[in-house]
Amino acid sequence: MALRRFAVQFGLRAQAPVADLAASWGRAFATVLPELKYAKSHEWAKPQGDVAVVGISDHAQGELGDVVYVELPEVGATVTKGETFGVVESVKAASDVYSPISGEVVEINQALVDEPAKVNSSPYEDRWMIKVKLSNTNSFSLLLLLLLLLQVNSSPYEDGWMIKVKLSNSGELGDLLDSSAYEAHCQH
Amino acid sequence: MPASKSLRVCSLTHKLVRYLPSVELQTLLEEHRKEGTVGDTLLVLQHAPVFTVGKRGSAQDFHTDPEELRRTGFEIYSVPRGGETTYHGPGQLVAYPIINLRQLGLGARAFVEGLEDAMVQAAGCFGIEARGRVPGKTGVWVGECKIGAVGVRISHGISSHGVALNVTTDLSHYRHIVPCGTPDKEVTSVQRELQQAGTYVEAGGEGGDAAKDDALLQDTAPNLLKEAEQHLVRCIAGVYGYTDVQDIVEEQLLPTTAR
Repeated sequence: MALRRFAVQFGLRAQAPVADLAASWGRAFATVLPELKYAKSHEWAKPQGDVAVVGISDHAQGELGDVVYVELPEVGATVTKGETFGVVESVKAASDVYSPISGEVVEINQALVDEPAKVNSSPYEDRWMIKVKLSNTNSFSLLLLLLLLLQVNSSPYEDGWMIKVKLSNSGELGDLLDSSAYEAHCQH
Repeated sequence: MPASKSLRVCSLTHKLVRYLPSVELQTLLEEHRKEGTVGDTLLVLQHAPVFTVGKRGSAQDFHTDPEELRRTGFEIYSVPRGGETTYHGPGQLVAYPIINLRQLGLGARAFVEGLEDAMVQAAGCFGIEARGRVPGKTGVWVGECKIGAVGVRISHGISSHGVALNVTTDLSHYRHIVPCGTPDKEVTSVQRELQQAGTYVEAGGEGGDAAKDDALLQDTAPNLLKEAEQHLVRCIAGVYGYTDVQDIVEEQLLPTTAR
């Protein structure tokens, strides 16, 4: 777990319970972002006015394995809620991905097509904020952990979006799961 | 108490199945499985000689001109499965699980690892030490040689396409392609591994004219293939925890109201 490795790197090895806490907080917060809406098929939608940004969740990329190929629709294509909009391949499995909303594709993330591994990649390691030589002070360690957690919440969704869709029916966003319902769904 | 899980198994290995009809059959089964009008189904078969090109395959995977291959009796199709270009033909055991992965709680990686495990176990029944779960090299390997290939599709949580285990396959046909996108790797088969180990006892030829189905079937050491089929089916059922395995015939595959 990247967060545990990062915590250990900064001298938290001697404070194992703190490193464990970091890892469990990482698991609790890093996989699901509260500002997104989720489909049960593990895609997310982020409303931005009348456009929604769409990608697949951290849970989904973990279940897929290393992604080696991404197929996205063309700009201008129509996508329909619940219907396939693209394909992601990992471990010789071509998996359909489904649009959580309906509308017109206004932008695709070509970076994913060019470098499919970005669907999986954890940007935790190159998004650290500060390097601090730690004392044994617990409170200082906890402060560092809080800063780390704020950092990891901003990824991997930002770079991993797949398509941007001009919504034809913004009411569909209401049919999607909020973050806590999605977390419950992932634990079935 | 674990819930009972049923798997219907339809063996079609007594004949050579043309590729396109098998894709049409899988599409129908996939639709019915999605609607819940049939249960999880495993098709087991042998194909007539064919090269299939997956989502990441291309014309560059062919060493021999595809038109010339077609003229000599091979079929070539592009298919919406994972993976690159591979060969299917007599003596190769092909298994297509059309199963509801969402109901089994399996993501793509877990599903594919299960398929690899099943082929490794099946090879193990012949005393062959194979391995799967090799990062970046999906498939089943004996040393550096590939004995089993994987290429699946997952749509609305339902799997289709599947695996191919070389049992008595004419391996020379692989020279026409870059198999599974691995130019520096060889392919092998159960028969070849047993021959090399000095333990192969059944007489069997190396495949003949690609156009003659009956001759090919006779040449492919049917006992070894049948034995491999029994092992592979049992291992696939086992890795996914199926408690109830039903053998069905082709006529029972689709609901009676289906065309």
